[in-house]
Amino acid sequence: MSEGKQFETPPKTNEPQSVEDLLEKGEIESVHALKGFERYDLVKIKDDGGGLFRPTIEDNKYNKNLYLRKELELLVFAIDNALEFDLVPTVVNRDIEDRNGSLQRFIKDDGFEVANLLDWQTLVEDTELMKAAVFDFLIDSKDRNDINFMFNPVSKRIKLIDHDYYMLINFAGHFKSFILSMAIKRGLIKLPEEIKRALENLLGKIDSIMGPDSRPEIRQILDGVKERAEKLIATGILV
Amino acid sequence: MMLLHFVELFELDRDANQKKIATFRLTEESGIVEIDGDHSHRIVEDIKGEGIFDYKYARPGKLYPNDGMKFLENLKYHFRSGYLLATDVEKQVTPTP
Repeated sequence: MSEGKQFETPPKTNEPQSVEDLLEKGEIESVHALKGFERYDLVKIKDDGGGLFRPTIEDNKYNKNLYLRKELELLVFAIDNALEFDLVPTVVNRDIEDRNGSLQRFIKDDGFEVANLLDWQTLVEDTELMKAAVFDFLIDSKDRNDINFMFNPVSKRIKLIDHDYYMLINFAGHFKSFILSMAIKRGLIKLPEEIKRALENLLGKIDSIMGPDSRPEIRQILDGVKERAEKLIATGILV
Repeated sequence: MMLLHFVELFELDRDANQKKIATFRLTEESGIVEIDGDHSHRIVEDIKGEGIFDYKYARPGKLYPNDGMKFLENLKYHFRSGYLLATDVEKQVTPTP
């Protein structure tokens, strides 16, 4: 299996396939490093906006947040694709300037803003909130506060970001997702039929997402997703 | 001479330009992190009021500017999305006032 095909990513119904194509194959106009500890390059793509590139750094001894960084981002995007929730910005595997890593679509120019900077709680609609809450429940997000998801106050859409070691593998804080808490506060716990169908679709595709050579940590995460999806379908209740 | 430790926090705007929101400064004398920048910015307000988790050593509870270096060295893990990005702890030696 090639590195770029670690996870099956079925075409989305509500996003043009060309977004993924542009990120994977689009001509790069410029690359520049952002200031900050976590390594990011801002990549400008011809005829498109751009993306945030996180190079894979093998030596993660001193920064465990880099551990499986690309694999985790691609995994969560594949889960979102299987659910057809469209909650995770498109991310692809790409080589840029002789470095491999993940390239995720830059979404601020699509009108998204860090949720902390908006009154997202009053603007978000129940349907979108419930989808995102189900998603956070499924992946057992451990660090979802209002600086690692984005919100578009016009379209009222949510985009979830920062799917890394602290979010998915090990974080001592492990607090309940802000999104999940808000959904429960609003009493959004009974799953509508379309979400149950999405969960059934996910279960049907989960083995292809897993792939034959996934790392143990990836398998463990997907086993957890599968278990929680089965529970949600069985009970019909988000708790 | 006085040793100053500091962390800078950047925000990526809609045009993909990085703008500095705040500088978090810690001197050996005070032991408390002081914040230079727009204190009415929601990110700055929230971090003072809500605090951050200890990502580095996984100690329970939250960290606030009063916690000094423990707070300062965790900013880079809290702000790690690219849209909000903190630097590592940097050092500067300044003349004693």
